[in-house]
Amino acid sequence: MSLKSLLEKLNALVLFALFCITAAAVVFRTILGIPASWSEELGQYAFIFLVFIGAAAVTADDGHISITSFVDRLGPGGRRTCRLLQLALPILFLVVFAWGAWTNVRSNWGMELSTVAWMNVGYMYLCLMLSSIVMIGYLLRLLVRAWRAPPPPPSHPPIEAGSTP
Amino acid sequence: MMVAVLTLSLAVLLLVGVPVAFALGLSAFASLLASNMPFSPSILSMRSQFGLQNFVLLGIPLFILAAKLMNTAGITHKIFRFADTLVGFLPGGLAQANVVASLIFSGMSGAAVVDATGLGQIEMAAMKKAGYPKKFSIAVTAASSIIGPIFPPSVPMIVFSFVSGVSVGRLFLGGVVPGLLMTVALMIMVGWMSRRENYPRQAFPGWVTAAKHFVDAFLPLMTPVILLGGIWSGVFTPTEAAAVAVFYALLIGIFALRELGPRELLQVFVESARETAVIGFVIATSSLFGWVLVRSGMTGQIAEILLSITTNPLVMLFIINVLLLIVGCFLDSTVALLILTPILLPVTVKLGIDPVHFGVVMVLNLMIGLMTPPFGMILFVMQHISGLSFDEVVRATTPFLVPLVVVLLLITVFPPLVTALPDALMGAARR
Repeated sequence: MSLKSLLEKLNALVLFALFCITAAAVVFRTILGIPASWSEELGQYAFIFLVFIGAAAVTADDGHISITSFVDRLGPGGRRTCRLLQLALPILFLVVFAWGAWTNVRSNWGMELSTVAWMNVGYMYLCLMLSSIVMIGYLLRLLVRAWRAPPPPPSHPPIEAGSTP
Repeated sequence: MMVAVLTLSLAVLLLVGVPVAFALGLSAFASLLASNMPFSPSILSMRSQFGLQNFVLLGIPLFILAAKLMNTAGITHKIFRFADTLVGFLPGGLAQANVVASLIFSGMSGAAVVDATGLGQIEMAAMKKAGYPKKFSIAVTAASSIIGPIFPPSVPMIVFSFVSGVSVGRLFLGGVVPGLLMTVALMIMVGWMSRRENYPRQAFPGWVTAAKHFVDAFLPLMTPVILLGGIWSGVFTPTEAAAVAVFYALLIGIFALRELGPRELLQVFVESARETAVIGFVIATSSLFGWVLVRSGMTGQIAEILLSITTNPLVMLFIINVLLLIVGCFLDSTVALLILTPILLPVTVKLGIDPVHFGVVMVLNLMIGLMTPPFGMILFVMQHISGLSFDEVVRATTPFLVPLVVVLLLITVFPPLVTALPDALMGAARR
């Protein structure tokens, strides 16, 4: 199983957990009459995991939303330069992001959520850091391929990504 | 200096085609470096995760999941057949059914693309079989899919609520009348074109068949009733309503229709998680961008410029509408909502415009952008499904922008079309 496939399946599990947590809040409050304040905080953390694990998987096949209407009008040389920039510049951001996330992992390790004692705030920052590192890896791979490959043809936004509501 | 770096770097990065999420993060990062403020790398991850810590946002993955479960369970077929029974006898029968089916489906989905790719394919196949021209089928399917994100539930309204702090429940209810108006406007357009081109109409299948189609579609038809009823009565919040929608879709798909097995479920969960990540990652970095934007003082400067042009609320809304229609041609709607809401909302609030009214106007405006070139996502979906060229799709869909813009103008000029329902059901908002 590839890393991307593993990340996707892991994320499907996180989404299922998110559904269970949110549904549990309704059951606890309306049927059992017990307020479930933990569900809100835990649900938000599950959402953060969902976004960052998913963002890493999406990077594997270059599926993030981008606006290509200008680049598509350029010649082969222009498109190639833009393609290299599209892959190189995010790496710069992610390196600083991962570095900052690591600082946050160290400063928040051992800090528990107020309503969910077993959930360590450091875990969340660790997920952000690992996600950034995986994204850097995928972007470097794409960058090497783009460097070796001929100029890319004009593209359309990724329809399957369903990015636009 | 900070403002210049922020705006220029964002513009250049977007033009070069850097993914929007990274462009937002990079421009915020560059702007922080250019400012005199002390910079710590930890601020990037801190602000990004902070932006995602909002209970309202949990509705996005769950509503996407609910709609995909309904699609995969084959509910869309039943909805389309029921809609055909309801309005198939009107001029352009199947095209009318296409519009009504989109309205019904929008009661369980909150995204135009889900409507166009799921229900849209069934609608277009049926219209092709009945002899409708491909271009007409595409145009009706594209235009009717725009009802999805307006009629509740709605993913873009959740995004607007996240940025603005306006109640999602109010926004959902505010979208009911505009959604119905869009349906009526599109049906009028379809009727007019069908009479002119002499498109066929279906015979009424008889009351027994009609009743059978209604019974078949009954369970999915109950989805919006359960969701809106639950939100209105206070049994659950809009976010929890999304979980209820998923639960209901699972019940129907697994037990009633027996169409969802382990393989289909895994596929739907993987796809929904992926789509959530794409939107969520933009939200995360836009949260960092928004934080820098506010610190740069740019929001205040733009507000001053806009207020120096006019202080008439209606004129301001018209100016904003024109601006958003242009922006909608080039920018993804989620991105536009995340970047422009913090800039435009303070101006409208200052002029006494109801935030719910502004939110619905803004969302409808940007959704119309899904049908305008060069970056209309629905146009790309239609091109993908139909195999026509992009130009042909654009030419076919352009006339259908007219009824949508008419509805936009109507709700802009008459705010009660948006605000009356939330005010009546949830009490007048504090303004």
